[in-house]
Amino acid sequence: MNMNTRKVLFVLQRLRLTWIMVTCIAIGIAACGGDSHTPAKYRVTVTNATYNQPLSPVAIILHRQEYSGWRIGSAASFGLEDLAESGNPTAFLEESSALRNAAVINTEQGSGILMPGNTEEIDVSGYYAEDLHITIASMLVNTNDAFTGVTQLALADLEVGESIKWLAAVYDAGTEENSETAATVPGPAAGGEGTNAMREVRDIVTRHPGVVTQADGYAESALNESHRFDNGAAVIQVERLR
Amino acid sequence: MKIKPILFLCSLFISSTQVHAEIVSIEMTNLTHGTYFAPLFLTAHTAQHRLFTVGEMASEEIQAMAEGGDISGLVTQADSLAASSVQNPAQGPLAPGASVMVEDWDTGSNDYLSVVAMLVPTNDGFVGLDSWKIPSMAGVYTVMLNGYDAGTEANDEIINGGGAPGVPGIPGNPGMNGGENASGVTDMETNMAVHIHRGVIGDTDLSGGISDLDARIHRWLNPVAKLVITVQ
Repeated sequence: MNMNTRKVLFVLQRLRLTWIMVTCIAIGIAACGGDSHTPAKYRVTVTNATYNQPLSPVAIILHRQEYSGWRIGSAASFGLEDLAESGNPTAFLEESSALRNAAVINTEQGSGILMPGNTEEIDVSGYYAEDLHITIASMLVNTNDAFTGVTQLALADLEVGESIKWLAAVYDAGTEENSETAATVPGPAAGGEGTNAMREVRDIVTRHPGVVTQADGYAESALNESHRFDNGAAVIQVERLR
Repeated sequence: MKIKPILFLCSLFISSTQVHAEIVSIEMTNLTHGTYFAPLFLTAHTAQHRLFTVGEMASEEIQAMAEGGDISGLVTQADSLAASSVQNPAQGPLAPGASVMVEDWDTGSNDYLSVVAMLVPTNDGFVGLDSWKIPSMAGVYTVMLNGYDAGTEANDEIINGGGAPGVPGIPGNPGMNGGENASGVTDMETNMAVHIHRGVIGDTDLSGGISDLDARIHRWLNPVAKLVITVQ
């Protein structure tokens, strides 16, 4: 709505349109978005922006205000722990519906591992809501429990044909110590275990501090200099198709 | 259902405002601790043109900029596309912490802004802005820029003067605060698409070690640059 208001102001200031045009833009505002009976469809395009961190199958949740995939400073859910430690999105997607059935509209997942430099498009459909949001999550698999994505991104102002694109930050699920050892990193760098039910002492979601690796003198690390990363890890675009 | 043609007309009116010439002023600041920006290239272009795209191979022009700081190819390319460009506004490298101002730039009908400059000292790192839509509303906008890797050269971190495309090594270190005789961090570049730079590793051995960069000086974290864009 804000964008439309700005567009109207802009038109008034710069072009001094006749009242007919202003009226028609006002109709445009009234027609934007839709109501809860309007089917909506979004295309999520994810590009792996890292050098050598394959991304686990992307998890997508279309939801209303009440759901949140995670909160900085709060403990990760069991589903997010599983996604961030093993790369398996199933529990994260299933628990979202189970925990917040009324708030979760639909879920989708990517077809498989998204390699560095590769791009995948995933469509997700559901009924429009005035508080429609999206949550997207994927593990950086050559880590203990790093993931990228976004939660509670508002989609209500996005009109058909419009898109938003951003570089998604890297988070630490806070559920496993960042030991970087071969036994604990599941990705191709190590082939270690996925999810471990143990939680770390500081059991909270935060931004990720990065990996140390052997190249920085950490001999026990299974990672080398190629596994380092900086923010962010994925370019994500969400386009409203319908 | 009568709404649709009316909406279509509306969108025509709104989009017709975007062909107006835009006058912008840009202040660009190097936010890094110890990394220089080689000559900057700023260009305003249409939606059809992309300077670089994450996940795709860098163009030869981007490669020359990222490996050796040479923006001449980008200038020629932009001119051939009727883009409006500003080259080397700092008249040389932009030092860590320094700012440069581009005043009253008339971008014409080009409403997407892209910015690149090599990060020095790196092998093929660059600061980048990819197709930022210049708002039609007058105002002051702040955009943070990240460090990218062109994916065209192994990040060996050896300062040997190698700046030509395809030649290994780092062309120079303007801060004169690195080491020498490094053995090299890696000799491979397995991801040849443009990606977010993983950072330099450096070391603390100025007469050897794996890197000629100083881990205490030459590392960075995103963002690496700040643009303050005033649309008049």
